[in-house]
Order: sequence, then structure tokens, then C-alpha cells
Amino acid sequence: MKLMMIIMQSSDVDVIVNALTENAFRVTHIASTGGFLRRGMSTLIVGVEDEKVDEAIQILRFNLSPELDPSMRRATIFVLPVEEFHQV
Amino acid sequence: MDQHGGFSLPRKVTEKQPMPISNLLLQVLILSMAIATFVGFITRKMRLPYTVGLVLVGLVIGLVNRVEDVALPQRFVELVQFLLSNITPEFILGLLVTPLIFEAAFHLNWENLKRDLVFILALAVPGVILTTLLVGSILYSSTFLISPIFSFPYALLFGAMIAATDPVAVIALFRALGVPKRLQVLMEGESLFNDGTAIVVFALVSNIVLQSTKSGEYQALQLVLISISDFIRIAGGGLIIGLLLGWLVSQLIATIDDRLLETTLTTVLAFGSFLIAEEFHVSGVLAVVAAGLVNGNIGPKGMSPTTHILVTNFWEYAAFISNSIIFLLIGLEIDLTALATKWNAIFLAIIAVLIARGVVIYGLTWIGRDVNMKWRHILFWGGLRGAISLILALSLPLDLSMRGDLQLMVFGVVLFTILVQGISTPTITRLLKLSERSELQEEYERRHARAVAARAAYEHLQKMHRKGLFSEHTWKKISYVLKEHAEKLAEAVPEVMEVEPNIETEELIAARREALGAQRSVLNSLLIDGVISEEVYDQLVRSIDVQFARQPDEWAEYIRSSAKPRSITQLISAIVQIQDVENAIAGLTDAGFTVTRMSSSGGFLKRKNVILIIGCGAGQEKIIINLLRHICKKRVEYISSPLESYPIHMPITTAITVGGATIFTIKVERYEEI
Repeated sequence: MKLMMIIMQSSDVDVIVNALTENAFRVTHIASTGGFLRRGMSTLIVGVEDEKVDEAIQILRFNLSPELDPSMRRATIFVLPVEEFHQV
Repeated sequence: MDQHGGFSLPRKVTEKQPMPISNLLLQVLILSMAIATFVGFITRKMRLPYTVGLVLVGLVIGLVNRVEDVALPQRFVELVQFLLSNITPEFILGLLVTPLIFEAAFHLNWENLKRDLVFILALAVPGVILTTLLVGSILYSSTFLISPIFSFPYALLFGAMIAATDPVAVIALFRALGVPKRLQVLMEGESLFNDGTAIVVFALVSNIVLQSTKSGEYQALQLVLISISDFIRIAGGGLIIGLLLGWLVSQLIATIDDRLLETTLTTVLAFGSFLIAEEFHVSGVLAVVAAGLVNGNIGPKGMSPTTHILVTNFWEYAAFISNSIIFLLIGLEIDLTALATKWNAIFLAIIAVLIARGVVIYGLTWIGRDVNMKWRHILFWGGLRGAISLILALSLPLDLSMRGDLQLMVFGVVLFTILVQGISTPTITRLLKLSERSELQEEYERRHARAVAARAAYEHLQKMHRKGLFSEHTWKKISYVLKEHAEKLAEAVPEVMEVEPNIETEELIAARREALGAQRSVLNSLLIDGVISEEVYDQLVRSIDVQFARQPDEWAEYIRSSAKPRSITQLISAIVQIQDVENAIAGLTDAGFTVTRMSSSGGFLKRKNVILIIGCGAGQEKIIINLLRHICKKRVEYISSPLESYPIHMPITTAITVGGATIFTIKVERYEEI
């Protein structure tokens, strides 16, 4: 089990959340700010099975709107190990 | 005496009346500062120690003042006379030496001091006693050579007066020369502690002298025993008072967040510990040393960076002013013509002092084992004598039979050490190759200078060509060569930096300081122009000061690490109080980290706080934690809340600790940027 933290621009959130939920990922959305200009940013927290991490990243890659400036990042993804996972 | 009403007094009458003391004092002070500024300006140009310049100017003024034929402005003579007759040893010690000692102690890092504490204390306590005994013995055993015949107690008295070193003149230059920090700490630490010891030893010896002259015969052993117990009481008492007050004020500072009040508190501490210790008849100087050390090492933890900068600058300035006046006074007090009459006694005294210093420094080898020979040479030759010797000489009892001779000898030795040793120490430092400036540093300087010169040549010719002073033909031919030359030279500069990263670090630090300074001054003018409010100004200045306060070495590390390509291995999630957030984000971004913030609330009072998410590479978490520790200071705040159980509606104040940061470091298994 992995916990993915995805930090991205708020403008893309709806598309991404839809795409992820359609593919059976459970997503929690936290509004946040960040980056150089303190723009509106969103953080998504997604619990993922080990083997589905790549799939999630693929979905992100495919659905994020292209950045005009190639040096800018569209999203930052941290994949963290989860010691135990319960759903109650 | 005439009583005049009104404010417009007839001029002739006012001239006859003596000027009020406060007026004279102010004039003397301003005159000294003006001279100090002038001397500082000249010595900087001549690359001479500043204090040496002051002594020289003092000597010249004194000399001219004593020659009656030379017509000096009446007012000037009056002022010098006032200065010499009214500046008592107590005045110098209390008002001028206290800031000097406090400043030195305040800046002495305990961690640095601890390493060599045994050696420093050995130099400062047994070393001072040994110097006193040695100088006394040498003088006494060769007293037949000189005109005033010394009895042993008098010879000892001279030894005590001359025992304390005062290497300000040398230390100031050491910083510029790039001498290893540890040697600076050794010299500063020694002079800090031996001032106190020397004053105590002097008091005890002069007591012995007075008793021996009164009673004629005295129980030597009994006196020595009393002296030892007195020494322990006076020195120990002073240190304890200083430690206590220093600790107390540091605690007080931690609860206040007002830079002006905190600076004032350190002033009260410095002079207060001196006065209180003197009140209890224990060593005031040692109390100031202890207070400064404790306050300088604990106090800043409770200060905001802005306060810390103000306190540091304030004491630096106070010490500068004190130093200027003291060294000017040393010059003024010394009468060169009188010195000349006693040249043989002074010569002998200088020899005795040098021998004693040599025995102490080279003899205590077994204690400071890893202090190498080169450093010992510097400690030996750089052990100048200054303010304390002067004060002790001036405070000799007026009815002492050899007062004048003793004073002349002390002045002679002080003058010799300042002029001869003070001026030659930098050269010796260079000859011993002590400075940390390596050959690579020089190579870098050469390459940098060449590159700059070549670029200047190119730009100069370019300008001339634009003005039409060259034909197009010549310009084309020459510009190609010049440009290529300049570029090649410029490329050669970073090569040295790769071999010696310290050079790069130094430049980065300097550049960074300039950048921060520029930001601060722009904020200042924005505030003055009314573009930003005081609140915004305070907030922004604070975040700049945080950067200023950071360890310079760490700075360079940040910059380097942020320039490197990232490989993120750790996720740091820091929960920070809302009032620290702006500074934390500014600090982290500045260090090259990307920060994401999420609002949250929590803690005992459900206060608003913020979660900061930072990705970092291996080894960088320490940097982040240090930075957050610096910015998110724990502080005590007071809230007043009505207690519900109270029948009367009475607000009580509760102290709560806020601030600080809770930091979780989580291992990142995989990191992607898309």
C-alpha cells in the first residue's frame, strides 16, 4: 500500500479528480498554496495499491493540461510507504 | 558671585565663570570622537592598527600641550586639561572598560572557548601570577642597574600592573588578516580573563606594599595566605554575581519581544553587574566577563534576529567608542620627555616583561599541547599591554613614595608594546604564514583581477570606438583578440573555485550579505516614503534578518545544494504556528526549497496553524530543521480569559508557550515531477 501526495495547480483539480475516481482511485482533496508565487495549489491524497502507482502516474500525465513553459512543473508527486492501512 | 537673571548673559561675565561639568564632558566626548574618526580614516589608508594611530595622536597632542611656547586654542588646552585631571581610574574602569569587556565576552562563543578553556585559564590565572612574580624578581635582582632602587614589594607591584594583556590592537587586525579563529579566541579569551585577575592581584599586592611600609616588618606567610583566600573570594564572588545576573537577564529577555527594551536590558546588565559586584567588594570586571559570556551565549536564543542584530551593532559601537577614548587617553597621559629621563629603568622593565611573557607562553607548553610553536610566537609577541595597565598605574595611591617612577615605567612598557609589538605583529603573522589565505586564494585573486582588467580594457576600447576615436578596421582587428582574451581569463576563475570551494563560499556569503543589505535599505525607503505600513515593514525586515542571522557557512551550503539537481528522498511535513508561516516560507524558498502550505488548526487552544510540505534530498533535512528552529522560536505569550468557575467576572492571565514547529520526516519511496 502506498500513499501518494500529488501537488498541482488548482485549475486542473476537477479533471484529475474525475479521471482518478473513474479508474477506482479514492481521492482526498486539500486546498493549499505554494510555489514561488503562492498561486492556488491543490494537494491530492490518494491511497494506492503498490502495483497501481504507475497507473495513477500515467493518468496524471495524460490528463494534466500542458504547461506552456516547458521548464515549469505541472505536478509534483511524492510516493510514501504506508505501514498499515485500515478502512473502517 | 553675581546672580544673573534671564538667558542673555553678558559675554564677558560668562567667560570668567567655569563651564559646567556636563558641558565640558560633552565637549571632550565630541572632540575625542572627532579625533577618533579622523585617526580611523587615516590609519585605514596607511594600514596601521587603529589603536596605534590613536596613541600616536594622543602623544603628539600631549607633547604640544606640554610645550608652552606653542599657542594652542585656549579652549582646546582647557579640554585636554579637564580630561587629564578629571578622568579617574574608576571612571575609566566603570564607564570605558566595562563596554569593552562586555562586548568581547558577549561575542565569545562558549563552544569555541570551551575547547581551550584550560589553557586560557592557565594563562589568565597562574600565568598572571607568574608574570607578576617573574617581572618583580627580575626587576628586583637587577635594580642596582637603574636609578630608582626597588624594594621587592614595589617590584611586585610593577609586575602586577603590567601582567594583564590587552591585544585589541592585534585582534582587530587578525580578522582582516584571516588568522585562524582559534588563535583569535585564545588571545581574546586570555585578555578577557586576565584583566580581572590582574586587577585582583594588583589590589592584593598594593595592600601588601602599604602594610609593609606601615608596619615595617610583616608576617610574609600570613600575608600570602590572606592574599590567596582574598583572591578566591574576590574572583569567585565576581564570577558568581556575573553568572547569576547574566542568567537572570537572559531569562527576562526571552519573555520580552521588543528590540529596544532588550538592548537596554543588556546595557543594564553590563554596567549593573559591574556596580553590584563592586558594591559587594568583589571583582566587578570578572562579573562583567561572566555576565557577558552567559548573556551572549544564552541570551540570543530568546532574541528575535532583529533584536540580535541591534544588540550586536550596539555593543560593537559602544566598544568602538570606549576603545577610541581609552587609547587616546593612553597617548595623552604619557609624557614623552619624562619617559626619556627614565629610559634605563623603562628599558629594563621592557626586558623583564618580555622575559616573563616568554616564560609563561613557552613554559605552559604542557597544558596547551596542541597549540603549536607558530601560535606561541604570536601569543608571545602579540601580548600587548593597554588599558588595564594604564588604569592600575593611575590608581596607585597618591602617597605612595615611588608613584611617579612606577607610572613612568608602566607607561613606557605600554607604549613599547603598542608601538613596537603592535605594529610588527601583523608582519610577523605574515612571515609565519599563519593566515589562512592560501596560495590558492592568491591564485584566485590573480586570475580574478586579470579577468576584470581584461574586461575593462575591452569595454574601454569599445567605448572609444563608439565615439569614433578608432577606425572600424582597427576595432575589428583588435576587438576580436581582446574579447577572446577576456573570455578565456574569465573562464579560468571558476577553475580555482572548484579546487578550493572555500573561496566560492566566501564570495557567495559576501554577495548574499550585499543582497540582503540592499533589500533592507529598500524596505527602509519604502517605509519612509509611506509606500508600506510599519507592520508590513516589520514583518519583511524580520524575514530578512532571519537570513542575516543564519550561520554564514550554512548559507553557502544552501546555495550550493539548491543549485544541484534534486533527488528527493524525504518529505518533511512541518506544522508551524500561523505567525511564523510567512517567515518560514520566505526562509525556505530563499534556501531553494519548494514549499506547499495547507491551513489547519490544532493544539491545545485550537489555534490556527499551517502544515508545510517540503521535499528534500538526503542530508538536507538537517538544514530545513535548523532553519525552522531558527525561525519558529518558542515564546511565552499571555492570554487573558475569564474563568468560568469564578463567581466574579475576573479575567486572569495565563502564560502559554507558543511557537516552535512540529516536524515529521517521512521517507519518500518515489518522486516524480511531470
